[in-house]
Amino acid sequence: MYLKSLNEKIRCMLLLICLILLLQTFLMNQAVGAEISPDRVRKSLVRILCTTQSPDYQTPWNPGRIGRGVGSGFIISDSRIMTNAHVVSNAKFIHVDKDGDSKKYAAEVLFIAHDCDLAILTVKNHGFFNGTEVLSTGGIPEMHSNVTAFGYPIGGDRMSVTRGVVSRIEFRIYSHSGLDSHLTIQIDAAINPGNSGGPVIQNGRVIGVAFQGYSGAVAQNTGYMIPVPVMNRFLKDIEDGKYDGYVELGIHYLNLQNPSYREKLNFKSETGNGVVITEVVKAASAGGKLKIGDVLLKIDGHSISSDGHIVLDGEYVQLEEVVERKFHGDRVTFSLLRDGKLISVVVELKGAWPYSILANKYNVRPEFIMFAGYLFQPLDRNFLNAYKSKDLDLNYHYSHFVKNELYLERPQIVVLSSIMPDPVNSYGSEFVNSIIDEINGIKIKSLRDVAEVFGKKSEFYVVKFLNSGKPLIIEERLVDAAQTRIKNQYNVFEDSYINHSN
Amino acid sequence: MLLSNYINQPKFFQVFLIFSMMLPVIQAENVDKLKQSMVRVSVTSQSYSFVRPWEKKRPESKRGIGVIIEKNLILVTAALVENATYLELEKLETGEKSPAKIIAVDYSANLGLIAPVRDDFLCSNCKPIPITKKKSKIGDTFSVWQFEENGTPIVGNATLKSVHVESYPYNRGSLLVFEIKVLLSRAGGSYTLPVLCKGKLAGLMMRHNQGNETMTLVPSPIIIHFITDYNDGNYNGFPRAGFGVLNLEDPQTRRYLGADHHDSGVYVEKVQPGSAAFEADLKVGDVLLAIGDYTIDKFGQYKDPDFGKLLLSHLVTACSYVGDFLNFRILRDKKEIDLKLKLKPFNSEEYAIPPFKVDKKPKYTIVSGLVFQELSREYLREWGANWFTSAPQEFVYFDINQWELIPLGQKFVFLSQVLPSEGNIGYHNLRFLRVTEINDMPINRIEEIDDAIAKNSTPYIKVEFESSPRVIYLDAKRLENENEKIQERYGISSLTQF
Repeated sequence: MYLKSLNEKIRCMLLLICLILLLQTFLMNQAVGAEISPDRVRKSLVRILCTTQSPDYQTPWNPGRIGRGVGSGFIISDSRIMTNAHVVSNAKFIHVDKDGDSKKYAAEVLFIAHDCDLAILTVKNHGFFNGTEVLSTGGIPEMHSNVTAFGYPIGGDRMSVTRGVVSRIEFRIYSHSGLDSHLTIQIDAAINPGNSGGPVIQNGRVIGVAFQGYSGAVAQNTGYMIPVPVMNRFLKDIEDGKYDGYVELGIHYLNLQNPSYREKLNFKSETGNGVVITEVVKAASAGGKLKIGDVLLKIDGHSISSDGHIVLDGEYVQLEEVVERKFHGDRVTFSLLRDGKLISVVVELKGAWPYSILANKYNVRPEFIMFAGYLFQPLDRNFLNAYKSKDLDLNYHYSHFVKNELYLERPQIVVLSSIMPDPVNSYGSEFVNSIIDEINGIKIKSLRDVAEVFGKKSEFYVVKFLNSGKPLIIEERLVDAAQTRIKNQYNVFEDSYINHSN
Repeated sequence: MLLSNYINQPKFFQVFLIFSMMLPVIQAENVDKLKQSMVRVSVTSQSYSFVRPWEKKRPESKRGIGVIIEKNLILVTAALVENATYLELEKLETGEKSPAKIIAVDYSANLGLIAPVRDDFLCSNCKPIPITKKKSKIGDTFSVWQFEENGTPIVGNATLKSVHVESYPYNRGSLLVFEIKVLLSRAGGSYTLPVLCKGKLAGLMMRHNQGNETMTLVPSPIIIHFITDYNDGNYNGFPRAGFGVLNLEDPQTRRYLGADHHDSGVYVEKVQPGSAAFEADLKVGDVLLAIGDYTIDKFGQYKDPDFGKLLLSHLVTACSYVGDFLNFRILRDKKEIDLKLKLKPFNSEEYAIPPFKVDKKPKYTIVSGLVFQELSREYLREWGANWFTSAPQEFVYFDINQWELIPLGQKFVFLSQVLPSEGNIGYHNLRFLRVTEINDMPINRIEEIDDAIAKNSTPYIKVEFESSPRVIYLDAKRLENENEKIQERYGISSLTQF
């Protein structure tokens, strides 16, 4: 779902501050109402205390910085706790407690979905669930209807209750991954770091999970929650015991609103339907099935308007919503015009791996190779965030990785990211931030290729870079001694880490 | 410098001492004479808008002091006269004014020649100032000349700090500069100031950093090259070899290239397609050992007889003329080879994406509200000082890597914006898209767009882009009608400018 408006998303990303713990500050007496007694929610609400360890991509061999966070969660069916993925990302140790129970219980992550910022925890000690209550879920609330948020925000230790109204319902970027957009509900209460993962309740039912907001300097009274359709999709996805994630259709299209274009296609009516495909991401579901120039008329039987919308359950939504609700292996059927003929095309849905470099990654070790003091790393969002590089080549290859299908040529873009100075690399600094093209004549398509070439004996290693005529030369006879020296000197205890499951 | 002169050459020191004591006297005598050889130049300039290429931007005023170097010929920097719409000369003594015209301008060397429109404007006692042929040395004393409104001279004393090769404002290559140390508060808006050495012209001010008291000059050797070239009746400009080098200090790289037996040689990193270097068969990966009789060191420098160590580009640009031959000794596959370069002129238009575009109207054509342009550095500069990171990154990437990405002789034609109207509904948000074909005809120059449309016999104009939306259609039957409407609605004087 992140094809249509990458620019818009990048803009949003600058503004949106992912509040690890958020809250709406409202008066206690306002929030209670006739809807639900706070005591019932108290029996479901959980405080999550999480110790994290986040790797540093500039020293990727280190285990990383240890941090602590507090978030909220709530008990759902089958002795499970639902919370946000960002509350328990990079977790090394999690424990949970409840209001009115002094004991702390160790918890573990059962499922984590970084693309929709949700996670499921469980507690081994079943005593934890004694006397707790499971909250049932509702639907999508009406605009301007009252909602109540519960959680454990800053400002005190005990449960807090706040209230607001539904301000807006639309697709938005989920800042945890920084890439995925899903349905989001905006509520109007001021947000403080406090209660990510806590339930938002209406008429006694959970209608959302509070998860992100703007910092006060940017906008006020804007808090966001993950609505029930996204929660339900997550719960359904994990029914088979694993989380597969969202599927990607992988198309760009042009709204067919131009009269000449319509006329050219022999579409007589000016207000008729249809959009034309302008880009098909080869690695995504549509790759090989849909073609550039196809005119999409219907998706699963729903007529597509000339601005790419359909009517689904009485709502006027973007055609992508059909795909949004489906799972890996599901199918979607298009009626389309190809070369003037009306045909039907069935697309089996799957994820699209090239997008993964554009999303924030969690719970993974950074990959690297350190060779003669030169650090080689794959280009991805975590890498760019760590180095904050403004290098044109790096930024171009990152932002055009999917758009210009650079991944077809190089599934992994490997960068010489930094140097640990040593006599062996005294003259190498000019190559920092360059993208590796080939080494000893072998085209580098992933970090594994780099490891393979450096693993073979050769008098010289000739490292060629993209858009540069000068290679880096490393003499093999100097490497072994240098490698030992550098590892000691710089406390690098591994030559490399490569994730072979990638 | 002075101290060592004193120790080794007491005689020289004496001479210097006398000279420096005499200096104020000499100046007093010569000020009036020299003043008559300089003239204030006021320029109104108007640059083209590259975002709305049918417009010119707000007029700007610039001023400077020009130097009479020949009868009725005044030397100024090109920066002073770029995009000039009106030039005026003012005598420093009398304040008398006369309009002027541009005789010659070379932006890559940042120099221009102007002349009064009236031949009799400059009187007979306006003696030309000769250009110094002296080999300027570090520590030489210069004077920077400014004048107050009433013509009173303000002369700043300066010392030559450094002679080196540096980038010029309108040049992707580099040329020789003098850097001087001068304490001077510069009068507002002065773009050109003459810098003299013993009554002769040593250079023209190009940049001035008041904070660190440094001024960069277009130096006399560059001026002499410019004038010599102009005087032969056929101005070719400074030659350009069209290659780039990188240091070759690393012993591992030198051993790999077999250059470890030489202690000289620099690495050839880029060769511009179609350039003199390209035609002489210079290749990326060659080690350049010598140009003519000069050995090239690991940093790409040679020992200049006048100025000491200088970057090799000085040998190509200012020490040679277009049409000259230069011998390059290179190391390729561990063997020494000689190449002969025939030097060609620098021509910004030969670039797929030209590095600068001044005095020239930006090319564009508007088809049913779709504005097509050719990409230039000037267009990217419209994003301001941080254009490198704020302009569309794909365009910047193409600019920087144009030698590799765009075949020789082709331009980068793109849709810059859409002026909304009825005929282009649905396309209003399209922009920054490279055009590949129109009506199945490849578009590598903007002029080809009009050809492709003129030759069209179908009811549609099919425009193809490199990326999404790939293809769009416009109505060919109503094209003229649409064009007229857009021209009137947006007040555009001309729909096409080539």
